[in-house]
Amino acid sequence: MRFVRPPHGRREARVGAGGAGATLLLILVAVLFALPLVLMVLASLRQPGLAPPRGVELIPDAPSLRSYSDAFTLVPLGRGILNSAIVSAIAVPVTIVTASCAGLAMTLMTGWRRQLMIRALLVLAMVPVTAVWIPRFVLFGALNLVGTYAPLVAPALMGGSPLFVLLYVMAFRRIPPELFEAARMEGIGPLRIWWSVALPLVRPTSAAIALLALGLFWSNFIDPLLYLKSEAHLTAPLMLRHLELLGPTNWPVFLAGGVVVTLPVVLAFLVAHRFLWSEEKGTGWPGR
Amino acid sequence: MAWALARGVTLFALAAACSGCQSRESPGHSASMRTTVGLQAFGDPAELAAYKELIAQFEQRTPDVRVEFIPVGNQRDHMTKLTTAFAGGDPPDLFLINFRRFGQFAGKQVLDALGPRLAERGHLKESDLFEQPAEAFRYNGMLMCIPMNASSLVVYYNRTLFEQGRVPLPKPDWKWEDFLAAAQALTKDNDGDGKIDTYGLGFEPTLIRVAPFIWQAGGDIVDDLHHPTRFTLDSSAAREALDFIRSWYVRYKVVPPLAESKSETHDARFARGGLGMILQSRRYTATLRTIHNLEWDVAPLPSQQQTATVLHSDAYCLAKSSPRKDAAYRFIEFAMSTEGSTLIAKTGRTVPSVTAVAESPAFLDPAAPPRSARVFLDSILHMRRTPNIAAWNEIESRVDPMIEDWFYREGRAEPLGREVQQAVGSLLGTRKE
Repeated sequence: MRFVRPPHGRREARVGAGGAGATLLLILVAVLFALPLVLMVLASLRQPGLAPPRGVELIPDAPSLRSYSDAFTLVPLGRGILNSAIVSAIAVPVTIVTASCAGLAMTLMTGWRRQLMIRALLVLAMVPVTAVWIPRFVLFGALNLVGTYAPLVAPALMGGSPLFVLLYVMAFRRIPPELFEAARMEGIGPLRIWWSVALPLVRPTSAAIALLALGLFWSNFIDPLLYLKSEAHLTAPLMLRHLELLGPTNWPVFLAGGVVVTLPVVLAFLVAHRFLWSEEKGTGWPGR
Repeated sequence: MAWALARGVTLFALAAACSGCQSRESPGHSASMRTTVGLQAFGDPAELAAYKELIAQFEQRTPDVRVEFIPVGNQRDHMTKLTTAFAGGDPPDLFLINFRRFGQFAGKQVLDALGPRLAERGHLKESDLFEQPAEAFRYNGMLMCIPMNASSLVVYYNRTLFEQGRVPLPKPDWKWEDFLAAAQALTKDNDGDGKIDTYGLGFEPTLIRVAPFIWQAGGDIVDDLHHPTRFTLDSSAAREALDFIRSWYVRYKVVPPLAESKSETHDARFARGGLGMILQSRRYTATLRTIHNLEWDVAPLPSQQQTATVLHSDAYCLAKSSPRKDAAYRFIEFAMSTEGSTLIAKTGRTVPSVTAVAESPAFLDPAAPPRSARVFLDSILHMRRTPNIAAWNEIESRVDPMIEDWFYREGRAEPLGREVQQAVGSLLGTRKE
């Protein structure tokens, strides 16, 4: 069968129409996801201490930033954000290191070993958090680490999440295996292969996992709740919980806290998203 | 480069992990001089600020004891943290807990009974406290925890709506029919669009809210308060009360429908003037005090055969495994002293369990609403409570969704009593203490 190429102009017009449709769809999805954030910002501008409005009030009568100052004075929110930043600043790079090492090791495995490890990862991903809740607490208690940030950071030592390791496996498998073989024949050790050969080729994946890990560690609520034992060490999500208990007249304060705690993650995404698509077509994440 | 990165991350990790290992001693006091006691409590920022002030005052007077405050956002998180800590063998020395939830700890014998310490030390006497909350924290006859408040369920009402609608204000001896008549008169479609704008009543259909009406009708929720073996929601008195409660929505439509109550809480609706009455505990007072254009007051629950309301009380409990029991008890003594109780009472959120403080201006402040604050004290005489058995927290968690469904679902045939007994009756029988 002979393939008939459509006239050049018509093809471009079709692509243009399709592209515009896709862009419109993306804009709609973006608006849908951004809407709660926008509403949160607008509602946080309402004066605290007023009776709550009936329904959704898009623009408050007398917009004010008092809720933001109240959020920082009612609870040590600044301290909570700093503590969350410390935890994330440790856990995210450690996650990248451990998840990528594990992902590369699994990629370089062959045959049943790789299959076994991938299946083990999938099984691990399905273990409910609550099933290991008490054993973990007992373990960290025995290590005298309850009340420290160590239990919060510890998952990073194991790749953060089985999903992150799997993402790295997928990314490394797109690299031609001959490249790793050639590096080995040149006498390059595994650590150097990981750092100098593998990691630079999967930067978009690393950026995506860094963002996912940041979301995971930044918004982690249950571990700080269970393990931290002093107000000075509490993280931002726990501070938000205190604000949540304020009465309906102070909900703008709670929402202001929500905006402040959400902002760093949104900013991180805005900074990092260009890395997600920075590679040449075919190697970017998730592998276009 | 790789090693430099690894070194940096490791050092940072160690530094941060140990940020929680800071010295538990304060400047000026050596480790041998100060004992650090952990206190876990939940509350909103104002309550937590009051606890911090209490701790500061205590530490000023007791330089050899330091209290490490562990604030938790809400009751559910508080319970999660507590149960995990007890299961993991690392509970806080001291914690505050509601009497409906303390049974699971008392039943597992992980609490240090505070009654004997109370009698031994003598600074604080049980007779200084209201009898009803103290009784609620007895387990097998022993006072286990020291109650710090004695709140109850009352009717908060919007005075302006009552006056605008020419509805008689609630009286101390008002009856069910007066209550319902007021709720009906306050339910209004103000703009004539066919939608209700102001509802007469905000009611959260849960076991703890339903119970006082059953008691008022002469019924009960279980057969034996101390050793319950079955629910008695199917008795004729209980059914009379349940029918009355259900009629508020199913028949008279004086409470907001489920969708409306989920989209706007009763607390928020009352605060903006969209509810004539709401059933709430003392905790709600603090929120309403921040609203300046709302005229409100409180009234006792209406009565029928009997007068009854339900106890809301939290207490200081001491973990049996605590190696710092004496220091921890000294904090309880200070917290329950006139000075300590007054500090907490000033938040407006609690009814002090210390009778002298409850009768003082710290609680009955004439300058702060509600003007009928004495209603909370008068209600104490008619307080009753739910069982404090180990399984009660679980029972409430499972029964409350059933009550919500029963309250809102029109055309429902199965009686609530039978459904509750079938679903959780076995917890009474098998877990009887």
